[in-house]
Amino acid sequence: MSSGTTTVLVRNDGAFGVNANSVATSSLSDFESQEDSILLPGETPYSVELAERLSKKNFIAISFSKFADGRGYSWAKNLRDRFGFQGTLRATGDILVDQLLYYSRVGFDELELSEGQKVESALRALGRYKEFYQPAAGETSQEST
Amino acid sequence: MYLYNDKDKAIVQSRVDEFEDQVARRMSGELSEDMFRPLRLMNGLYLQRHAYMLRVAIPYGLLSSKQVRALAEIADKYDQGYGHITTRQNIQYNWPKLRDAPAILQKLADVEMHAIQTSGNCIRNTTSDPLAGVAKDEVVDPRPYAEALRQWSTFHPEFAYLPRKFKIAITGATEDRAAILAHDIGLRVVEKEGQVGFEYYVGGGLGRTPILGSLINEFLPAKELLRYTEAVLRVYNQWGNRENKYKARIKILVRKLGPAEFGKLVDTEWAEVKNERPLLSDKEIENFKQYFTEPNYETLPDVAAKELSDNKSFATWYNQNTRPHRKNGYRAVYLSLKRPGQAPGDVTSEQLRNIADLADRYSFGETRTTHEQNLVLADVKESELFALWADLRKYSFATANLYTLTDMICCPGLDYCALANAGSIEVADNITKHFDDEEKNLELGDIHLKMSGCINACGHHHVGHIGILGVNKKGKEFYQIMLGGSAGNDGSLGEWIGPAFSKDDVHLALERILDRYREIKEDGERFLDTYRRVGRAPFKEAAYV
Repeated sequence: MSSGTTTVLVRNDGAFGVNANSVATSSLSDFESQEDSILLPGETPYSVELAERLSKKNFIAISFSKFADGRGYSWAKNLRDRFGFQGTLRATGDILVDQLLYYSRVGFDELELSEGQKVESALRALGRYKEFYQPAAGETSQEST
Repeated sequence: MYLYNDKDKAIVQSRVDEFEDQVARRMSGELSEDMFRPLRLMNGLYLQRHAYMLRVAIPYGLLSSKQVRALAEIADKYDQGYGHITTRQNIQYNWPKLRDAPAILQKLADVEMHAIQTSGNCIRNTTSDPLAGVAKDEVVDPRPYAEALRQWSTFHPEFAYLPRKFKIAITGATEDRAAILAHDIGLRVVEKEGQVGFEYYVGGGLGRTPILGSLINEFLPAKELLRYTEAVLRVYNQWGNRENKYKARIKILVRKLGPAEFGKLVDTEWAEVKNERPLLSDKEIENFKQYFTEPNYETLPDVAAKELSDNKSFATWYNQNTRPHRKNGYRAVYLSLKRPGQAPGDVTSEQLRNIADLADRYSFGETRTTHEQNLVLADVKESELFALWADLRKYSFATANLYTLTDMICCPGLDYCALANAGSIEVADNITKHFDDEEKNLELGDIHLKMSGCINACGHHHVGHIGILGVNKKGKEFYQIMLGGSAGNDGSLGEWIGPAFSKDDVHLALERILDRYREIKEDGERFLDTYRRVGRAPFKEAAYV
């Protein structure tokens, strides 16, 4: 991730912000480095062992090589709900503005827009729905009506 | 009748606003067609051969007369005056314009309808038994559980980008009228020692690789429905094939691992989900049931329509197109959308209005769509059947052909579909006209004919007692015939009988096959029974002269 990328941040309290920070991440191949952050390709086959090791980091960026590949969503959900990951979870790569709400619901708190994607469109997409049928990652249940 | 609560209304309205925004961004160029494609697909908007096609969800096939009238209005205002009932109980419009799509969705939202997740690689509309809640052979009403699945799967954030589309069907009756074995997940609601639960099938599906679903859980307690289903979907999302779209359905994963091994993966995942999600509570299940309260039935004697004894034509229709009801003095009535000159499943705006009026007059203002592309009035008094029959005749819904040869399932084919290799509607019409003889057709008895215009098998040809597949050879349309399939309790996949027939010969080949059936059938045998007894050879011999 190059510096100067516009990053739309979603915070857990539901507020949104925009900054231009970019966090250095090391790749899975140098997992044992001292880096506290890691870049996880969303298509990485799921394993309990890897999830446990990942959950000890402070920052995980899950990259989507294709927006239609949904595996990264399950990674995020499991890291949050099953492995108690408390650090920052960022979605990066080929992600669409209209997917941002789903990313935030499965536990991502930072979403990195690619060039040409409009922040206003992103914020609109994130804030549009007020009601949900399912609990988000981290919520235990959604009172059914 | 299902009514939206405030939450449903808010969610559907947000969807309308969202799609309006997306269409505006597409039109301004902010979204490329590649970016827009998945968004419109999750709203049921396909780009077809000539125009866009919009598929509208009809959860479990239930429609109020008010909704039916709105569908008619949409057909007139935004389409060419008709719609098409699909094999998954939805309705689709073949001619809407992209710029009109937001207005259509608003019109739908105003009557508590939508097109959410009617296409795309996500969990589609859950389908069910068109006689749910009224069927005499029903053990448990499946609709509250279908509704639990509907809510859970609607905008599920984790399962919106699956390897491929995902379809769930649920029945609670002894006879399977929802084709559960042809679905990614098929559920049968059962009762065991006073507990409600599900027989849970996975990995059924047709298309290029037809496979019937496998039983992976003999009795899943009802309260576990969503936790277990979440586990199935997560295993699929993580391990389904994403390299090749023709190997991406869950059926391929289940077949590769074997149902037992797949079931083990699900069990491991389920054990984790149990720590993360609560069971469905009694209160929640009770709430889901409240959506499906029964209409205001009268207490009536158990007496059949009195006109049966003196009107043969009425009696024929009664026997063929109506079904017993669990309430004394009521029947469930099928309206046949199959007759010469009408594409199977097509319904005009005028017909829709007539249906709405009939629903109001005879059946508590409700109608239902069926997997076989017909309609049902589920709660008609025996004493009013004769009057209803007269009205149905007036509107041409009274063809006494339910589950006979001319009551065929048929995809839209080459006339509309961008995927099709061959026309299906013209062949359907040839068959309907050729066999348009009530007595002859009824004598042939229970025959499920299913036809697709390409190998994607939207017309379910693999599970037809007789299946027809359109193919294209050097620019000409030909039709292969298969025999012996079934989508019911005795589910099976058909077998090809041999080389394809030309378009003008399909109905004649059928006649030769059915003549052979008449010659060799034993007492009480359906076509399928005879086929299973004698095998393919006698029919093959008859078909190719």
